[in-house]
Amino acid sequence: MSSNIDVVVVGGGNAALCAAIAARQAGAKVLVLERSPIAWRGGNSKYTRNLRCVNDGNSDLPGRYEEDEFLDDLGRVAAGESYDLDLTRLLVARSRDIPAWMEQLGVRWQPPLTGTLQLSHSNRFFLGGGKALINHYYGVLERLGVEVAYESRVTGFQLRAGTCEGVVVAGQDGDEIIPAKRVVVASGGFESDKDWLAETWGEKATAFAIRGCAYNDGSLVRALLELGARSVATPGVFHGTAVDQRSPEYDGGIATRVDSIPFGIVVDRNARRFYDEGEDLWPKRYAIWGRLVGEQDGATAFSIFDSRSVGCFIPPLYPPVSAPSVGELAAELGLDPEALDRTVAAFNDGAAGNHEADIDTTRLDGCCTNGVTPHKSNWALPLERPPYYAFPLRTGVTFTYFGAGVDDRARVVTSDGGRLAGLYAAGEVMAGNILRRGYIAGVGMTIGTVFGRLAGEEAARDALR
Amino acid sequence: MTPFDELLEEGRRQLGICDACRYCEGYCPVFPALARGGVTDGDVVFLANACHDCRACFQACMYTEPHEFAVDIPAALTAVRAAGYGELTWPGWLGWTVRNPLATKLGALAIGLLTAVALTALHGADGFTVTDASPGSFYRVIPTETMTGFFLALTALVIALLIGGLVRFWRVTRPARPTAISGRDVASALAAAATLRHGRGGGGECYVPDPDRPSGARRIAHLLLVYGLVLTFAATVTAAIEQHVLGRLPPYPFWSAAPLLGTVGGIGVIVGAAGLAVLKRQATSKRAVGERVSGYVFIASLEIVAISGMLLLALRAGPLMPALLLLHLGSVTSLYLTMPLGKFVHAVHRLGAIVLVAAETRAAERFR
Repeated sequence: MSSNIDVVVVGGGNAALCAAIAARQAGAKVLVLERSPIAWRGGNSKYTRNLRCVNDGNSDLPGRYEEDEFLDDLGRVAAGESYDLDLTRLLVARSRDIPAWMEQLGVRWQPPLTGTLQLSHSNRFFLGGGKALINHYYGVLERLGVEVAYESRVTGFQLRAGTCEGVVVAGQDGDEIIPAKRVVVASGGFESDKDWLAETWGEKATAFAIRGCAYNDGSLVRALLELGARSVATPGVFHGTAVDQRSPEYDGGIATRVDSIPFGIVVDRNARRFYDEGEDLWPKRYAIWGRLVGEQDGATAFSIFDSRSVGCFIPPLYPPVSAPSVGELAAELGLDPEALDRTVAAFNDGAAGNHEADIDTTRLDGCCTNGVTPHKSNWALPLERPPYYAFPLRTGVTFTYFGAGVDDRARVVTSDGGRLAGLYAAGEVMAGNILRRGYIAGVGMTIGTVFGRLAGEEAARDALR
Repeated sequence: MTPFDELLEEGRRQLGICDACRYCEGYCPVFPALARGGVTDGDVVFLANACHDCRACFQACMYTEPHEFAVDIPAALTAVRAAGYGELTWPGWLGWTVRNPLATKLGALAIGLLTAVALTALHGADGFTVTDASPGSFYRVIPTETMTGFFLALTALVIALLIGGLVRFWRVTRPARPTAISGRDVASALAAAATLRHGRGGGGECYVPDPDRPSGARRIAHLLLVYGLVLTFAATVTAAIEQHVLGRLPPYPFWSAAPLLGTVGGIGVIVGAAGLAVLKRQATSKRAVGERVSGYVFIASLEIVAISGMLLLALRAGPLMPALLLLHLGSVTSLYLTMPLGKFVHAVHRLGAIVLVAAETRAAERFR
């Protein structure tokens, strides 16, 4: 491995790659340490598809997406929790020039994917999705002469007089110290560690699926906090969605996600509804269903719809459970048939005034239920056309928010207002500076790109001074 | 379940995962054409033939091995497509020829050469000793009526077999994709085929031979080959016009339309086909996708036709002319015979698939 490294970047996903490219573009000698083997490189970024940027109207996207609307969208999903307004403003402002930076590196876009039209003015979809994007970035690193070491797990930081001077890498014959002038930590959250999830969220978290990679055990989040880094966000909060029960434990990706929820009802294992399935447009609501399903008995729930909704949403890769009657569907799902019959009957009574011709799933159509609790605010059509279908659900965790605080130069800060000298953070490791509770589509990649570039630029500038 | 049924089942399994993901929609029409639940065998055959094997989707895929889902769309669709040529021959009993490309090609070459020799011998042994390039010299080897009659009959046979295969392809895919087709869709598909637009990976180009560095090399080699063939065909038509309309007998001077078209076309075929073979070899050394014998056999047969044609042009005024003429006519005959029975069929079935794609794209707002 090379010596005289200016900037070590720990991690191999979007944030790490943006940091490495930015640092190299600023003239630094960079080494990237990716923990996984090359076949699994790229962390959770492989599973992404878009990022959210300010759109001033002079791009190829339709309409505009101003800074205020972006800030507003973030504020609304924070749902009252406080977050760092300065850093959020910085994120939003710097999102504006992300597309041009990416295009200069040769990144290509594609039109909004099927089912995502509501995002066309605010979100850009990189051609081929996240794995194609990180493949492209690895190609850029190769062109720029940046060394990448795979299967290189950083276990800690090398400190001298309180300043980080390198990293410790686990090896077969013992640990190796790699000296560096500056270190950017972009090694993910702690979502892959189900024990830590269970500690912070509750025992039911052991039933969760991890939508992304198995390498994000948060060991360096822990290491930074142990060094005195200020923590951000609450340990139990994460971005998650409802995925099919049958999903693999790790790496299920997008194809396991269940998008049928707005088109019918969702019941718990006692066959009772518990939340307004039509509260808002799906791209604005999908991210709360991870938490919602996880809170139910047995951390499970069931999305039920009838044949009129088939083809209205992107299905998961698993076939739905189906039956000719509600009672038989209940039996297939392990629910009490009478209880499910009662729930569906009550829902159908409440939705009786709504007809198929009134329903418009592309907007808030106001076709709601009457006299049913919980209310369904939109798209409430009675379930009465067999066959009946269901997807059994479990929580799929995308990434955790609890992490290390940073300042407006991506430098890791301590709880007493100082800094961890020599250390920068980008990506999931510091997403909790922006995200405290909810999530909006695409902002994860925005955080990684903005703070990755920032950390890379700053680390390079400081290293070369 | 037959082996083909197994390939279709695996295609349905993998495309079902793509239907739930769809990140590759920008690469080519295959992914937008997935219809939100329920992939049928007809869909798989249609999509397998719409696929241009650019392999962009493979490098982008989050579910390729070592992931347990083991998705590999280029391999899965190539397998269906290649086996499909054998399943959809007309008549069906000719399918064994598709499955045995080398034997079929050698047999066809033998038939072609023997036919050429027989046609010559029919008109007297001195056909084999013509050595000059004076007007009509080719026809002292094989008379013009014989040559023309034979190739017209052969062309009719080949077209009939290709149409029969296309009808079978249509019957398999159409029920799954019933959108009405207009002339505009055919024109649009031809325009896309003219530049191999769908092989461009949505603009990022093709990942053959290098799965890490896409380029236009394969598309350019293929276009050289195709336009080379078009020019050689134009050369034949031009010569026919010169002979039957203008009354001048071949061989024609080098600096005249037919030989020039044939020369430029021949160079295109030789260079383009060789380029495709080199790229195929390079790609295979990194990752094997599909069986390759039929591809190399087809390339070799094209090279024999093109090189024998160029040699004939160069040496037509000499003792080798009859032999080269018979070699060229024999190899052209064998190429015609195997067109409906091997790799060439991709031109017809893929064109059919992208006509369907054009029709669906035009009607496509319903997908969104």
